[in-house]
Amino acid sequence: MVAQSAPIAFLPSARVRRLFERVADLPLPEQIAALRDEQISKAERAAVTALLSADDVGPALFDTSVTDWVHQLDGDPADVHALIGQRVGPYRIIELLGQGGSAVVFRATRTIGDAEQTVALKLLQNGLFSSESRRRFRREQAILTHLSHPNIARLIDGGISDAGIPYIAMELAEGFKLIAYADAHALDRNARLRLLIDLCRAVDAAHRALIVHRDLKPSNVLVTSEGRVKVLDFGIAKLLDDDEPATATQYIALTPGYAAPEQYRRGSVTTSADVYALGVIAAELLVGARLGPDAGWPDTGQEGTRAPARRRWRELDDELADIVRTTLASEPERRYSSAGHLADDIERYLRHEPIAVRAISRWYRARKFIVRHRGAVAATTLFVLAILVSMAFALWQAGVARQAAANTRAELERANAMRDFMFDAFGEAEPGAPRAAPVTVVDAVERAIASAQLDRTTNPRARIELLTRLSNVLSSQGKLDRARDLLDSTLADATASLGAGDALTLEAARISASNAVLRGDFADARSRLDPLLERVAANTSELRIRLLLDSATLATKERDRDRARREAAQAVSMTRSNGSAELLRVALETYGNVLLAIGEAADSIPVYEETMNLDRARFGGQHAAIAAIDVDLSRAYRRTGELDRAEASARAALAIDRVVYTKDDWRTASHLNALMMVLKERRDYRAMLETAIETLRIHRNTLGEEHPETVNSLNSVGMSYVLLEDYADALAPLQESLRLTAQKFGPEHWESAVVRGNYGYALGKAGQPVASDIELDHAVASFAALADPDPDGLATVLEKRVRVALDRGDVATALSHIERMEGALGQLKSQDAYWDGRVSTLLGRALLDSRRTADATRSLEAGRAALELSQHPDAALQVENTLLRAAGAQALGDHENAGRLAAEGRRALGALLNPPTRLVALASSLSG
Amino acid sequence: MAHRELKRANGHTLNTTALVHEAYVKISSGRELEFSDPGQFYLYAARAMRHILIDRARYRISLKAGGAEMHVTLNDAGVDGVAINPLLALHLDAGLEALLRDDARVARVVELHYFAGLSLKHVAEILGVVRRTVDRDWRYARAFLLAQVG
Repeated sequence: MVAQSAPIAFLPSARVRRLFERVADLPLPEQIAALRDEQISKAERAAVTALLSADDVGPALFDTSVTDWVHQLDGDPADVHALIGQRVGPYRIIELLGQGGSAVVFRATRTIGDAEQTVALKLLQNGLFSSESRRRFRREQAILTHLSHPNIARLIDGGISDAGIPYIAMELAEGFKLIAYADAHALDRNARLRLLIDLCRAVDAAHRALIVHRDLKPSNVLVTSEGRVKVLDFGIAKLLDDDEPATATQYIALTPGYAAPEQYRRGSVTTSADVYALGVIAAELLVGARLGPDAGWPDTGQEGTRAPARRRWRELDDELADIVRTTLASEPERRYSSAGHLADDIERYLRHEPIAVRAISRWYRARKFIVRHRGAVAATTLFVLAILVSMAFALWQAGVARQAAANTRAELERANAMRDFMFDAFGEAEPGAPRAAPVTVVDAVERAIASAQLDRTTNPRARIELLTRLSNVLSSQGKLDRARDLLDSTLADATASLGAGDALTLEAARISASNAVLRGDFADARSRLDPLLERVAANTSELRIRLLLDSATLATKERDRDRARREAAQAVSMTRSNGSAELLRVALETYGNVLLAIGEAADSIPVYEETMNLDRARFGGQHAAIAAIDVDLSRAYRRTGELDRAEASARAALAIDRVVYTKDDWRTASHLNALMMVLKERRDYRAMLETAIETLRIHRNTLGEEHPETVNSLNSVGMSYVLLEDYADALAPLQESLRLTAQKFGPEHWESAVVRGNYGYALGKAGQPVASDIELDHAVASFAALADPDPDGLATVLEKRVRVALDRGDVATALSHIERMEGALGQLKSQDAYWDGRVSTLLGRALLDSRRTADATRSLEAGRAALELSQHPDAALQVENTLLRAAGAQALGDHENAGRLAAEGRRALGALLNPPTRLVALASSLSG
Repeated sequence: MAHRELKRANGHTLNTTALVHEAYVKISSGRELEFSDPGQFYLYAARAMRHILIDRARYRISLKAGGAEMHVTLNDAGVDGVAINPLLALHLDAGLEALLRDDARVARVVELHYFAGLSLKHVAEILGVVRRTVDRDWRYARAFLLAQVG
């Protein structure tokens, strides 16, 4: 029980006790004679002698009752006055302001430069003796220092004196205590309610910063001479919490009469307890008496003095009584869920609007519903816990690994400090701890960041590693800009305290480059990555491997295919020769992604399959990492034309998502995108549109309106409408997507050119030929001007231009652009049957339209042959080719072939999902 | 005693109600208040008082350790002559722990009689032993503890 224990003069023993009792009542000479016995050792004799002389002294010590003793130790006013003029930390004590059970408060000053600052200096009665409680005090204190609100007395500083006495310097607020102020100024009911609103708003602001007061009462609320509410001692109660599990006490954190019922029962104190205390204060302000749980009258045995208060309570408006009752509900879940909601309701009352207490009771019913349907709710909590536990575990492992490698005391300390820190920081997320609002991962991480940044007592290496890891959690939660800011400040911190070449500094720099890629700022990413690669050029470490992988990924975004493939392959081979299994997993997945991104889908499949095997061994079946590889495989299968496998893989990923994520997650959006691409290939455009809309919704919620992924899914929605031939609805999303893309990447960027091509095509189909020509010509010009030519992209946009021209009978324009298509495709390194079939069929159509039937038939025949050679032919294009050949045969009077081809074309058309209207019309125009 | 009571009434020191409340919270913190018998309750109450005493004593010792920085005299507290060095509390507690390990009943007697303030007769009833045994235990324990703090 005693951490710091006193030495024992001698140990008790039954033998010594027997000797003592045998001789205790004998006269002294006989005692001495009896103890001369040979059987008694020297030590036993000394012990018995000590007992005898103590027995003789009598019960002086035990005459003082233990309560008197405690009172005496609590100190005499003389002691407190002796402190005046003394220094504690940087403060000089001026005068005594007050003294309570747990602390003495002085007016004190300190000199900062030329200025003198006056503070309320609180010396705490209970010292902090364990290193854990001191560490906690410093950390809590640091968090509180950041709580800044005009209605909350600010915590300026805090510390522990050399003698181990904790002190807190607070803004010196001077004024009346709340109730005294209201009474002294004879405030009417509405004026009292307005004070209460200010108080609630201040408490709510602190709660948003995850700080609970724990000891709200009128004596902690001052009103200044200007009428401004000032809440004192915010969070101080927690600061004083002794959290050694064996001796956990909370006696300071509670004032009878104001403490919520659950504060007596359980260790954890929540924002809801503060709401309850606000209810007690509200009753005191409004009726002049403290009410208990559920607005009952506490039994104090002074019934007579309460008559006026009871009368005021009876006369209180029903709405106000409801508000007070709700605030004082004995069950936390029936109270207002926040001090802010309480303030809102009081404001509604003052505006004569209906109050929300009714809504609260609906919320209560909803809570009951949640209890009945626990599964889904528990999953959220489990997910939060899973993240926290996995982080703590990773840190622990890191600690063990370092210990084995270095086995230095400093490294071990650092690992332990980090582990303790994580457990502490996330302690609040424990599901057993009731709170007014659930803690989100981001809340917990922000809390941890605030603590880590402020806690200068932590080893800087631990601090920097921790902040870097926390930034990763922020990124994984989609908070990319916040992660960037944190990384930039951590990088500056690391460079200053560890040096630019330190491993942790380099790692932080690498993560900030990855963050830039995630944000879609590729130029920023490259400017961060290349200097890093240069710095570790000669190195074969994990860092260099990871840098190569990052750089390869970035190169695919920069459309530098050779660099992407080269660097990724190099990273994989370096990992195979001297990397860990974990790193190999990462390297392989990245290599697969790079291959897929540069159009080598078939090559990527075995790479993904190897990754999947490693992942299954590492994580089991249901894990976000498995879902990620499923989606990679889905994309690869789709590119190789294996649509069934592609769809199955995408759906497998989404099934895992449903288990793993319980709210919108940007990764689910990316998996939906993979499914959408399969649906597009299957021509199931209705389902594609639905998937695109859901993807867009998730992207908007998780990444924001202007993120490249959001803009891309906007484009997908537009293209789904285009494929459904609903061109009017396609225009708005495509136009918005173009605007945002141009704003993000620049109007001539490849991304902008692609979206502009789609928009121009939809314009043409929607019957806006002028605008369509302008946009499509602009897109063609953008592609033609690319520093890194993209013949595929150029041919795609030219095809759109050709089709729009043909639709309106502009054969000359169509023919000239087909010529350009052929020119562009001539630059392709490998000749692809896909494009040969497309261009020949397009040309056939144009020639048919210009009545050059014989040339058209030849071209269409060449197209048919090429399409049959093509590995994954476009079914709609094949139908088009067949129907056009039927039309050609018909024009040439070859009715036999015309009939046969028309029948063949109609059959194939009937097999198509969402057959294009133009082809249906063409088919029905054919005779036979 | 009356002199001190008067000072307390002026609000300068923690009053006894608050102290009892403090002990109550110490007992109840983190668990439901469920006691199988009254003896267990008194034992909890006694433990709480031990905690409170030790907390106070450590604090006072830390004030003293402040030396020049914190001029707090330790033995001048009792205006009416009772001055107990806070170190005594630490010695007492260590002695009690030693007793507990050697013979738990003896330690219980001290806790119930001194820390929970029960009469020796009441202590005998709670422990289910005859009064004489409790008297002997108390005499021995008192001598042992005073020998530790002496």
